[in-house]
Amino acid sequence: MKAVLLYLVLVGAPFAGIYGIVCLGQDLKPPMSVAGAWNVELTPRTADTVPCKGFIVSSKSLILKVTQTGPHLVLTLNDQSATRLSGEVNFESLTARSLEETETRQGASSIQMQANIDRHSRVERMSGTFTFANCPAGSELPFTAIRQQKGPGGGS
Amino acid sequence: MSGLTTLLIQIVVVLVTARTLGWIFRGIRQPQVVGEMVAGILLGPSLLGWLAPGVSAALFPSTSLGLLSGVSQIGLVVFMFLVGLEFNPRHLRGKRHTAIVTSHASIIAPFLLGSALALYLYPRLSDDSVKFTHFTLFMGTAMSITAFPVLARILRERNLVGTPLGALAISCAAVDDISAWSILAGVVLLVRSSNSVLPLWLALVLALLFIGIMLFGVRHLARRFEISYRKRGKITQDTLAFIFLLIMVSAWITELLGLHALIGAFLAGVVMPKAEDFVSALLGKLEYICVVLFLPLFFAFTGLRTSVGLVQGGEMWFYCALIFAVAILGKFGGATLAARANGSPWREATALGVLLNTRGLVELVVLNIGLDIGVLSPALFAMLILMALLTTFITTPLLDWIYLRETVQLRNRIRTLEGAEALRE
Repeated sequence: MKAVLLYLVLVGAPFAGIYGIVCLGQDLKPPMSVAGAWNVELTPRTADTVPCKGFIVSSKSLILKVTQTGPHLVLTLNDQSATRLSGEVNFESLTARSLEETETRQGASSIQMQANIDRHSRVERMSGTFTFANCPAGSELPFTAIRQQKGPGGGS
Repeated sequence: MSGLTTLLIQIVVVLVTARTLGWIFRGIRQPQVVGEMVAGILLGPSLLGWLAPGVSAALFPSTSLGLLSGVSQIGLVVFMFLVGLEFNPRHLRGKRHTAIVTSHASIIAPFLLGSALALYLYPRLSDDSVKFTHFTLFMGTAMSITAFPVLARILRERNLVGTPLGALAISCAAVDDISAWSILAGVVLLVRSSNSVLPLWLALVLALLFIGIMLFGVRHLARRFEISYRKRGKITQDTLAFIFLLIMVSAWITELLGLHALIGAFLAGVVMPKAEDFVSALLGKLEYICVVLFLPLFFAFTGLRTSVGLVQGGEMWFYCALIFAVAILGKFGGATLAARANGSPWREATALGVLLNTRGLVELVVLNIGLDIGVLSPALFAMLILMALLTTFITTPLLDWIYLRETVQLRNRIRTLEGAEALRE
């Protein structure tokens, strides 16, 4: 009898608490999921004229990999050592800047990225611009990106 | 370099690092497995990848990780079978009520605190592809795990197996094990069913049906393994082949049902005959290769997925500290209070709390499942891995301080009194 009572107090009551927490948390709004790989397409006409874009458009298919923890993002463009960006997602907009100020072949030393995410169409799409901070021409490079596959949670 | 060459080099590096760290940790009175877990983390982006990214990329190119993952997963399936094999209902004999109440309280308390923490962490460390229910249930499960194998090893190393504390700890850990895996199976089923063609109720019915078949059908058939062992005096190659078949088929079916392959492997171990000589003969065949070769590979694979560098800035370390605090408070506090309420003296109750707070490699298994099914974000995964390491690391020093120090003092006092008595006579 004592064991049953103890069980009810020590196990039953917390169990009810867990149920309460699950109900309470249903209204919480976490940040939008952007984790996973995105196929980036640069606007060809602009890409040809931007002097500092070299390390971004060095390969034919440009993949943006996004690692997400809550609103915090780590973005990696094709070449891991040159173009890693750290950023945040806030509602439907995404901002990021390069992690290291590195000297590149084309002379650009840092990138900033700003994009908006459109989830309303069938494929998730991101459109925005890369900005090269120390580029003599101060250029902006517009892009669009399509999500390859929805990342399983933040785990991608 | 061919895939096989890369894998062989990886195995060499992992084994050397794991044995070295294991040896160093044994030197500071820690279970060897703690050193091996740390070795895995050090080989990943948290240290090697950070200090020498070129070496790391050459040693563990991303294209080779599939092979490493496959080998370590097979090892893990065998390891989970061994965990199930070591589960013995006889551990509960005579203290079933105490063990069940204490153990369930030591699960539900950290589960409750983990869920409450989820309320705070969900908007900060998760995203909208994860449902709150899944996140909170997984956080609760991750907080409530006890590592039976590590706990058993600590008790053996400290000669505590035959003591009342050791017996209670083993009983509680056994109940913990079976309860935690059942909860995890439920959570995984819930998460996976949201992306599956099978409705949840059907997945649940099929899972229960399979568990029923294993517990009431296959368990009786598995007795033949013991009969064959008795007849021949050893486990033959044929018997071992059938046991492997059972493990793989069970793992395959649970994976198919939306549970996880590891749950099936654990279940296959649970339904094995529990005669001590048979269990130790089977352990003798499988344990060494699993512990020496496969587990370090799993730790290395876990390490490669763990990026402590993602935990950056005061805010992230604050979340990390909160996770440590909740994990320790929930498990240690819950087990201690429950044992005390069940009549254990404070010293024993506290020591039990310390022992059940050991999360060890079982937590690593659970966290990897969480990352696989997408419930955990990479930084949260890293934080929980650090929590698993910390809670395992503090177990032996705390146990020595709380329990064994007084035992040694008591023994010395008795010896002194006996000496004085002898002199008087």
